[in-house]
Amino acid sequence: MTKPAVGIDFGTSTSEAAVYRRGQPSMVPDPATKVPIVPSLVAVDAQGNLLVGEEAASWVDKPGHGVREVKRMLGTSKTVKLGGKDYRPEEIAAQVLNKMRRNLEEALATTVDEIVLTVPANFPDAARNATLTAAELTGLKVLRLINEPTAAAMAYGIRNLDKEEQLLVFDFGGGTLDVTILEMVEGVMDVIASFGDPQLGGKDIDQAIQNRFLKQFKAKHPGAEVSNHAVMSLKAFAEQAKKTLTHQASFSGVLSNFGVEHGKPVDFEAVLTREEFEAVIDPILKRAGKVLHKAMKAKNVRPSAIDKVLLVGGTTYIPAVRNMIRQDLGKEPVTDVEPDLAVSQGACIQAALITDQISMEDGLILTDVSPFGLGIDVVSPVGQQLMLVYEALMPPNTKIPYSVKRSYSLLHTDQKEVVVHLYQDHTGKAQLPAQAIDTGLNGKITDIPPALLGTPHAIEIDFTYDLNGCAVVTATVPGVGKSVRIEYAPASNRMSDEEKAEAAERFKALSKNEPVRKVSFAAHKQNNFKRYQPIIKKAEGLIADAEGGAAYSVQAALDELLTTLNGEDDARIQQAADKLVDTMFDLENEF
Amino acid sequence: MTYYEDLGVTPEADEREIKKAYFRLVRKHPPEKDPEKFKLIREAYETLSDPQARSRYDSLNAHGDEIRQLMEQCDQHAEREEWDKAIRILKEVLVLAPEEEFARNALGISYSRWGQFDEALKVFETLTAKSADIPLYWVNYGSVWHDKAAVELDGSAEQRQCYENARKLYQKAHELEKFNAEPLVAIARTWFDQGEFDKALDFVKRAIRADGEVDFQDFEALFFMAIIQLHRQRLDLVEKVGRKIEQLLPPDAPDVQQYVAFRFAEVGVSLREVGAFGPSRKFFEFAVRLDRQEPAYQELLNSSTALDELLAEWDKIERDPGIIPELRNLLGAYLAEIFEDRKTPDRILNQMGGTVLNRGKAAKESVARLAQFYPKVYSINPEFFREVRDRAGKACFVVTAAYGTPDEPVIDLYRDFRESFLRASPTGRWLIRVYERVGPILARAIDPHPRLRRVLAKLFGLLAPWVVNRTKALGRR
Repeated sequence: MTKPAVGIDFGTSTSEAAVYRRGQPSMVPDPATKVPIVPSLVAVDAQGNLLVGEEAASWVDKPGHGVREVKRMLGTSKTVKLGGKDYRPEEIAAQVLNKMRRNLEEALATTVDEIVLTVPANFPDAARNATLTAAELTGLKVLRLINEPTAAAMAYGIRNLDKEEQLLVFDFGGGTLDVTILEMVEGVMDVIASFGDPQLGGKDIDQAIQNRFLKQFKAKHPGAEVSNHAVMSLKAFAEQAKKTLTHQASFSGVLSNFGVEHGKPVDFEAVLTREEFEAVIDPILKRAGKVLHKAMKAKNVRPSAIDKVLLVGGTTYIPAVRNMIRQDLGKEPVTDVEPDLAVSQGACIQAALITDQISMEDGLILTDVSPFGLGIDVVSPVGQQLMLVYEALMPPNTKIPYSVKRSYSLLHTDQKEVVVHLYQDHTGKAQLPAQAIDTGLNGKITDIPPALLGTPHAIEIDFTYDLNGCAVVTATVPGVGKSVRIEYAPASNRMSDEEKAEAAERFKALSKNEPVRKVSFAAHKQNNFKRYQPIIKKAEGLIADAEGGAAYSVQAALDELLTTLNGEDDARIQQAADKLVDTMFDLENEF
Repeated sequence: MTYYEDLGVTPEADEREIKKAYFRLVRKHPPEKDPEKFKLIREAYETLSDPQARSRYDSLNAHGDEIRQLMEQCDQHAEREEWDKAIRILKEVLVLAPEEEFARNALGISYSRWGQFDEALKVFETLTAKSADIPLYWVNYGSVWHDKAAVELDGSAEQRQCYENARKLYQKAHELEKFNAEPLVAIARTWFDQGEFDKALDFVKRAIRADGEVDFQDFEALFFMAIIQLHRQRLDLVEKVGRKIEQLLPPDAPDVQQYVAFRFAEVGVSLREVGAFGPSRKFFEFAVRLDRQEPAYQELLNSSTALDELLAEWDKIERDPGIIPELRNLLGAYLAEIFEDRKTPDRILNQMGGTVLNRGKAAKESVARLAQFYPKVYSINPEFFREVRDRAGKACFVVTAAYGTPDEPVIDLYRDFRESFLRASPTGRWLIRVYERVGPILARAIDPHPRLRRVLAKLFGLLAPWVVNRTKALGRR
C-alpha cells in the first residue's frame, strides 16, 4: 500500500491537514470539532494535562499556561513557559504538528510519517529550520518544504490545467503576508516572483483593535485599573470584533468586570463601526499594499497582465483587504480556492506529485523559486578602495534547481591559503557580508604553492542548489589541483544533536500528559474499518466515475464515514454508513 | 549549443514562441525528474525572455570577436589620450551591441575628457536611466559636471551650477553604496575646488568613515584631508593627520612606505614652489621619517629650513631702519632670486652692489649690523659682504655667475620614476590611479596662495640623483 500523500499547513492562528485521494485533495477534520480548521494553540491545564487545538482555547490565555501564535517565534531564540517549564518554539510547534498527525492517522486509519509541510514564502531560513526541527521532533519526515502561496496556487492549478494565465496569489494569513506571481501554461506553474512581510498578518489587526479598545476604555474610565489578565482577554474579544465586522456594519459587545475604578469593577462596553475599523487597520493595509507593489515591480509585472487574483489566508475575508486589491489591481479578486484550505490542499498535491501518485506526464508541474539568496565574500574594488563585499551566487527568487560557475583570482601570487565563507541574503540587497547572514559554513584551501607566472592563481567557484534547498559550493584552484566543498542543507543550521535530544525528551514528557481517550482504540478502529471496507470501495469507484454534484455528495458522505470511523462512537459510525449507502443508492437509481 | 538550440526555436522566434517552447520543455523535463536539463532550459529562457538580455546575447553571439578587438583598440587610444579615436570606436561597438554598458560608460568618459561635455552628459543620462542602481555610472555622470566646472569662469553662476549638479549625482552614488568612500571624496573635491574648505573637510571625514573602519585604504582621503587642513592654515592639524597616516601604514611594506613618503615630499615641493617654506618643512619632515633611506628628503628638509629662516630674517630686515635702503633693496632682490631659484643671484650683486658701495660708511655699518643680527642672511654670501665692508666707497666689483641651463631632462627622469616605480607593484598600480585623479587637485591647490613663486627647477635638480638610482634599480629587476 502506498503511503498517503499528506500535506500540512501549519499556520499562525490555525492549522489544516489534507490528503490526496481519489484524484483530489480532501480535508481532514478535527475529531473534536468536525471541522478541518484546527486552532494552533497549545496549553497546559491546572492538572498539567497537555491541550492542543480547540481544547486549548479556554486555557491558552492564562499566563504561563498557553501559547498562541508560536509560528511567529520560530527561528528566534525566544522561549515560552508552559506549566512552569521553558520550551523552545520548535517544541510547541511540534505539539501542533503532532496533533495534525494524529488527526490524519485517525482519519486515514494508517500511520503517517511523511508529509509535505508549508511555510510562508518569506519565511527566514532560521524559521524554516525551526519548522523542520519541529517536524523531526514528532518523527515526521518532511518530503518537501513548500511555500504557502505556491501551494495555494497548485490547489487552483490542478483544476485548471488547460488554462493559460498569469496569477497573483495574495496570501494574507494570521501572521504573515506573501504575494506571489505565477505564470501558468500547459499545466506548468512557473513562479515569477515572491515577496512578503514575515511579520504582518491578521494578528496585527487584532492587536490594532485591541489597542483601540483599550484606548476607548481608558478615555471613558480614566482612573480605572486594568489587570494584565483583562488585557489578555481583550485579545479574543478583538478577534471576535474583526470577524463580526467582516460580515456586519458594526460590532458591539461587553466585557464584564474589565477594570476596577474607585474600588469597584467596571464593564467595558465596546462599539466599533466598520468605518472606524477600517481607519484603525489602514496603516496595516498600507504596509500590505507596499508588499503587493514590490512583488509586481520586482519583475515589472503590470496590473493589467494579471489574469487572476487568488485570495488565500483568513485575513483576506476582510472587505477592506479585498477593496485594496480591487483598487490596486483594477480586478475583482476571486475565491476559486478556499482561503483557509487551499494551502494544505496544495501541499498534499505536491506530496502526491513527489510520491508519483499524480503522473508528471499529464499532471501539474511546479517550478518554484528559492526563498533567499546565497553568496560568498570576495575582495572587490569599491570606488578607489578594495573591500570585502558580499557576492551573490544566487539571488533570492532564483528559479530552482539552479547552478552557476564563477571565476575569481587569489589576491597575491604568494597567497598560501584561501577561505570561502557562505552567506545568506534575504533582501536581495546585501552588498556587504555584514548585511547578509553568515551561515557559519566555510571551506579552506591551504598550502597553495606560489604562482610562478606573476599572476595570482585563478579560483573557480561552482554553485548548485537543488529542489530540497540543499546547496553545494565547490571552490577549486585549478592551477594546483586543490579544491574544497561546502555543503549547505536546510538542516545545517538547526539545534545541536544534544539540544535535539533534550527537546525530544521534553516533547515525550509533555506528550505523555495528554489525556488518553481509549486504550484498545486502534484495534477497535481497525475492526470497524474492515466492516465498512466494501461500501468504502464502492463509494470510491463511484466518485471516480461520477461527475460534478453527484460525486461531491458521495464524497461528503464518505468523508463523514471515514471521520467517524476514527472515533469510537459506534452509533455515529452506523449513522454515517447509512447515509453513505442512501446517497449511493439514490445516485444509482437516478442513473 | 546556443540558447535558441536549447529551447528548440529559431533565432527569429518571437516572445510568444519562446515562452511556448519553454513551457513545453519544462513539461517534458520537470525539475523533479530532470534537474540538469531543467537548468539548461531555464538558463536559456532567463536570457531569451528578457528583451534586453536577449539583445545583448544576440550581439555578443554575432559580433563578440569584433567587439573584443574594438575594445582593445579603444584601450590603446585611451592610454594615448586619443579621445576622438576612442569615441569613434566606442560608437561602433554600441552600434553592434547597444546593450554593452561598459562601452557606453567608456564613451561618456571619453567625451568628457575630450571636452565635449554635452555629449558626455547625454550618454550618462541614458546610462543612469537604464541602470539606475550602478553607483559607478552616477559617479562618472557627476564627474562630467565636475570637469565642466573647471572650464567655466571661476566664481560664475554657471560654474556654481556645475558643482551643484555634480554633487547631486555623487550623492545618488553615495545613497546606493553608503560604504563607498569615492562619491563622498568627490563631493569633498567639489567643495574644495570652490574654496569651501570647511565643507570639503566635512565630506572627506565622512568618506574616511564610510566603510566603518579607518585603515590604510583611506590613505588618499586622509591625504586629501591634510591638504584641506593646509588650506585652512591649520598646520597643527596637518601634523595630526600625518601622524594618523603613519599609524595606519601597513607593516612590512617598504614600497608603500616609500610611496607615502614620496607623496609627502611632493606636496612639500609644491609648497616650496609657492614660497611656503614653513609648511613645506612639515611635509618634508614626514617624508624623512617615513623613508630614511632617501637622502634627498633630508636635503630638502635642510634647505627648506634654511629658506624658512632666511625668510624670517628678511621679514625683520624689511622693517629695520638700521639697514640702509640701498642694501635692503639689494637683499630683497637677491633673496627673491634665491627663493625663486633663478640661479643667477650674483647678477643682482653685480647690478646693485655699486649703489650700496657708494654709501660708504653707512654701508659698512649696515653690513656689520647684518653680520651681528641676521647671521643666516649674512652667511649666504659672506665673501660679498666682507668685500662691501672692505671696499665701501672704493671701485666697483664684478661677480661672475656660473650656473647651468634649466634641467629639462631631469624633469623627464622624474616622470619616468613615477611611471616605472609605481607601476611595478600592485599597490603602486592601484595608487597611481588615485594619483591621477588627485594630482590635478594638488596642482589647483597652489593657486590661491599670495606669495607664489617658483622654485621647482631647483627641487627637481635635487631629486635627480635619487631618481636615476631608483630607475636603474628597477631596470635590473
